[in-house]
Amino acid sequence: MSGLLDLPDDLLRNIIIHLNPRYLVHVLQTCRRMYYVTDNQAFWKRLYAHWLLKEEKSLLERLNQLSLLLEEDRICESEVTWRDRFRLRWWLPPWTMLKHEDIILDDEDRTCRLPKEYTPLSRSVRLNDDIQAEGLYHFEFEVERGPYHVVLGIRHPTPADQQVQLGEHVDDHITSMFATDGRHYGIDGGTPIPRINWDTSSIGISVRISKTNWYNPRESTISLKISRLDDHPFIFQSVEYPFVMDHLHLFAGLFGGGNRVSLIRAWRPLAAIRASPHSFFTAHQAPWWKKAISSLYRTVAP
Amino acid sequence: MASESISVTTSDDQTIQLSRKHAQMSQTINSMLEDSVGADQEAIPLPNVSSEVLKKVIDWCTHHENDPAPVEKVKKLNKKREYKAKNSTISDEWDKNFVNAELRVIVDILLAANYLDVKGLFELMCKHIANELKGKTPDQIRERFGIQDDLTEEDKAAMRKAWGATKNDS
Repeated sequence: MSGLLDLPDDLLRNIIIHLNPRYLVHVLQTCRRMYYVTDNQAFWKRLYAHWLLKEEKSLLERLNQLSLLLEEDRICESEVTWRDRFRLRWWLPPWTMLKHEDIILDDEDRTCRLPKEYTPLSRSVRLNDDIQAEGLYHFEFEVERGPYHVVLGIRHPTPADQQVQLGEHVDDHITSMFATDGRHYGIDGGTPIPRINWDTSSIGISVRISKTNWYNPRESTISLKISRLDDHPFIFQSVEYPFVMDHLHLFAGLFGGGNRVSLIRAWRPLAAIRASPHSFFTAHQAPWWKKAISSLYRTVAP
Repeated sequence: MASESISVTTSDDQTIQLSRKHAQMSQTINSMLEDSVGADQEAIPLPNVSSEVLKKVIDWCTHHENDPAPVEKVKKLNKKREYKAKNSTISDEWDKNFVNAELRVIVDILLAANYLDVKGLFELMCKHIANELKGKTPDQIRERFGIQDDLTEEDKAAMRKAWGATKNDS
């Protein structure tokens, strides 16, 4: 009598490739055979491409993504596996789904809370307990290998224009800081460029508290949320961030691949787009955009 | 002129006649036929397929004998700009009834479709089994398919680390 586990590995892979990523994870958890049958780079690459074609609606987006796929394959970074790419892109639910079904957005303080199943490696820390007086406070957290996204939430009871001045980062460990009030606080004089540190083992921030910017420590709250960036690309607060993140890897491709340097370089034009999203849709007429597109096709040409 | 029917011998030593059209839907048999052009018309041995399963395969081939070839189908859909990647739903009512069988039979047909290289049938069986896996927790999958939970705590911890906790864990 034949059972499911009597099938050879390649046939099992052909079956589970049809599964929605959410169900796929349940199948992997049934037994060792099911888990280890997927321990195969070619399988995850195929699965990634399968869902790419299945999910992307626009032809242009499919072409863009396939170009990136070819590019990523050419670069073949040893530390990033196809399974991780798949997990990043397909296992995590799309932003719109989270926004409408899973995400809990508190109207009062606009704190983004995600269900437990999506936040295995994030944690929130309330800082108030450690802040008693004026001064520069340093907080440092030991974490596993990054990248991380740090959300610093500052909430004042009244008035809304009270602000906390964010100090310099500690030991080059900070990645980025976003206030949950929707404003973006940078670390380089307010420039909205997040720092993505892929190798950090700790995250530190400094917050300068003074009478002019600290309205009432007892009634205000400061919270810090640390999340792995690769697990939570959707964690940003503002609605334009998913758009930006969706295009970050695309732009990274334009700047020479999916490595750390190209991601950081890619952020600058994206920050400009974020400042004026409408201009993005006419940006194809701009010379830099044409140059970037032709650069992409030169890069992926066989 | 080639005869209109082909003889095949199954794993249980049964000799079954099938039409050349159906035989050509199997890439494996088709290759054997091409290799044996001009040779004596002997029954083609199929040591990995039982007569019971082969009859099911022939049933499927009979129903789908007039389907367009997969390549033509994609071209046609592309023309209408309606091409989509492989869909996991089974839309044909006849196919739905066809796959309504015991797991043992389904797995045997899948193995036969793979051996005989009948692409449409192979895809149908894969989709059907995938549909059976859908929406079930690991416990329900084990129960449905008679699978033993042989995962160690280390394996489970590694999975949680790789994929995060799921609703099933809490």
